[in-house]
Amino acid sequence: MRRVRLAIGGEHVENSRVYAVEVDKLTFRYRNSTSYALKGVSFKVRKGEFFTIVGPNGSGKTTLALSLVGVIPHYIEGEYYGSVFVDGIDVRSRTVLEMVTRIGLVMQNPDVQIVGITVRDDVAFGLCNLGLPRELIIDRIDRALEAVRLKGYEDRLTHTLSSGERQRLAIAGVLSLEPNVVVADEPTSQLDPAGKIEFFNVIHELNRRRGKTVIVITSDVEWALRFSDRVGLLVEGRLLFLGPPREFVARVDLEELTRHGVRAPQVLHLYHKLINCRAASTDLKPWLHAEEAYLELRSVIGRESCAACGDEEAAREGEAGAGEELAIDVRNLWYVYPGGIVALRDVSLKIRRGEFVAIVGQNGSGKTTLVKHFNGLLKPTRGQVLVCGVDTRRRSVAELAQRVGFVSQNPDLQIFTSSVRDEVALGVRSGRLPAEEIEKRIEWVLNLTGLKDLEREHPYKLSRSERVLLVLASALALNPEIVVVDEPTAGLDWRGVQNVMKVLAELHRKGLTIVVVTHDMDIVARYAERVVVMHKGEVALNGGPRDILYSDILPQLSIEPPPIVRIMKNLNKHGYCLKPLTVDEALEKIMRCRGVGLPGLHAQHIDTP
Amino acid sequence: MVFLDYTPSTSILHRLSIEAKLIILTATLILSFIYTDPLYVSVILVAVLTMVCSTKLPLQRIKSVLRALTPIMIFVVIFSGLGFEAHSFRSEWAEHTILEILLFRISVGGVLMGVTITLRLLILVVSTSLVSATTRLEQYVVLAKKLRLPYELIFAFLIAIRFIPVLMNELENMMSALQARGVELEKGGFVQKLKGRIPLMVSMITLGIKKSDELSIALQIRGFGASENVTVLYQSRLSLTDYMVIAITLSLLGVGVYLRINNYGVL
Repeated sequence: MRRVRLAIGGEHVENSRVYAVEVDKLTFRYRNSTSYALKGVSFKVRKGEFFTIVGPNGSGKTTLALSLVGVIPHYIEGEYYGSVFVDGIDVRSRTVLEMVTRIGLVMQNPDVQIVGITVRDDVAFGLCNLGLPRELIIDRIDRALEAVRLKGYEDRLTHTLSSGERQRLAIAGVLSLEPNVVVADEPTSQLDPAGKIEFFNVIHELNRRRGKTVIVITSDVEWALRFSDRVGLLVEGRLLFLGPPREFVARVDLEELTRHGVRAPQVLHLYHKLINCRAASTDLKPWLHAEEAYLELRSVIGRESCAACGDEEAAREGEAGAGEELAIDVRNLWYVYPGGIVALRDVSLKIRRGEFVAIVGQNGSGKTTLVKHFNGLLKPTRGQVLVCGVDTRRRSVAELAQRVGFVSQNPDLQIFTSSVRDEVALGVRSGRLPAEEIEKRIEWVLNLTGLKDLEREHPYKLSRSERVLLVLASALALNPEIVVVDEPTAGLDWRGVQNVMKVLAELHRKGLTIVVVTHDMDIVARYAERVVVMHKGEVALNGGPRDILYSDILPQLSIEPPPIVRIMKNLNKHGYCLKPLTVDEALEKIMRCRGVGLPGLHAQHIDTP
Repeated sequence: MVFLDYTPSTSILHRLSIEAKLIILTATLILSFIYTDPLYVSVILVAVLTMVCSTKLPLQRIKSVLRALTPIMIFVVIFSGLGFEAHSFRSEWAEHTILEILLFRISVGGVLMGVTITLRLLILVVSTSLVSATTRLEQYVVLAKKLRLPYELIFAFLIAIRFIPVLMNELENMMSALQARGVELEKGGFVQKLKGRIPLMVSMITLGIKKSDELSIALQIRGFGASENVTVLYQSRLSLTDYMVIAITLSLLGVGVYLRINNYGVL
């Protein structure tokens, strides 16, 4: 099957001075798969370049990453055509072990990549494997930890690090081998925004200061645009676009992007909608991020302040569909973990029946600890939690499950059976319901979540978003009044996010109380009726999304509002008073400023909400 | 967790090399097992407790272990009182009978023997946890390398320890998830509890297989097996203190064995 193409020595030696990585018509099919994961992918990465590949889940991103370091085809076999050259060397001509000092891979899940018990051990692992002298190893550990800003962590136990710290430790482990090229596969999908920023700062510094060639493979377009020299768009194993970020912004078809399951950042949507609204689009330069968009808009809109103040939405928000009856009543809740760490300090919170509440905050702020009280997984150290008027201390978790559907973060830790249907049935069958009722419920949730066609499949064959839906469906089968979901969209591409959120929105429409813990500010802006911001175990802010996202103290709580809000807040400094949450709202606001300097805006393009 | 309860400090025991500590441990255990007189064994226990105090470690953990051992210790005293035949003792006073119920005779020697066994148990528990609390994991690794154990074996052991907290965490999450689905794990008898946990075991195995796949890729990427000569990061050379401690320990052991041969400390 393998078509071995002999390298024409001279050409690649010549190229290796310019290019760190050359991928030529790479095609790969896993042995047990019927379709090709990669279909003729070609690109070259110059030495010292910051190159990003974006693409939805299942587009072949991980396959590409594994091919770059030679794990494919050495370790994972299949049908392989084309070639990958690193530093002018065909990865097929050397073993993976021989390439580790040339190209390093940071894998998606740092938990598996970290093999040391202490931070020092872990960074040392690769170096010791190479049999380097001890003094050199100690020196390299030092430098690698400094590069990822983990100096002083040498003796920490790796399992006690935060997820952001673990991801950076994984980079240090790769970096210590001093490869010229660092590849990172979905490095930020499990991180909170603060961890993401830190990660990109570290990897950017590696690129700029230390001259490393960096290849980041991600589904996060916003960050890709902000940091990369060039961006490649990988969809269904094909590279659909390859070029600098600004060209990407100007040329990309947003509808197509969304259809492929890639989330286009708000700034991109805003740019394209403005372009479409304008007769002459020549003087609007493509922007890459909120700060650039602000500067551009600032110069286009003009200086007059705007009379259209966005107060009416704020007034509307307060009276959203919820009744007066309380679904969850948290009274002066304290929670202290067995180790003595105080996770919640005097938290009081009322959630009304039928409300859609988003709980946000940095990792370690107490979000998950708080929601684990809602179904009794944790019981208050002090204070009280009432669910539908019942004290959670008086009920077991299984009893509370009849009222509170709870979905925690990692779907893989919540799947126990070998078929979708059995999985959904697991919870209901353990109750004392008549058989017809059980069947009726199972049918209902399978249809609601769109899993009906997959009911005979093994859960592990489902995509990640389908697995999240499956776990949600299993909770819903008990017919709860309250649904609590912890980070439902982590690690999902845009299509997955929408599928999950659609179900939650549907449940909300049916009158269920929804509580979502999330880092995703787009979701907060779009769906939440109320936002609770946790900080250091306390409720720092609690109110309507508009008030919260436009709050001036949000940055102090380590939360970055969505790009639209960042743009508008900057504009508001100049006397405007605009508080849109979505792209369409922003467009309408900008237009309502009577198009000062935006003569081409036409009202008919915008559906006013 | 025996190997993860290292508690940092700067005490003498912390600074001693693992060789010295293991020699002390071995000597302590030999001495506590050759004597049968509880008086002699309690001297050893006092010595061990003095060492514990010198490390200024928090004592909660040892206390909780002792609390768990208490019923076993009482059980041992009673049954050895019953179990040892009076004529098996050398000294006359040990043969005295305290109590006679039906066919059973409880002798002084038997009860004292029970006390000795209990003391031995205490010494065993306290001294081994003392070693584990004052010794870093890498010191064991260095020792294993010195003993020329194969690197693969040492590594397998290390990786197991590394993943214990990860797996424990996952298990806990899975139990929470099952309960949150309305499956009762806490109620019912033993069989019912066990039945509720079957899905957990299946999932743990599936996840484990998945993880080992990923792990083998991760190990490749980190150069596992790239060189025959794996560098040992940590070095340990015996210091003067180590040699002195070893010398003192060995001479004490010598004296102890000499006394025992001359029938001291025997019931």
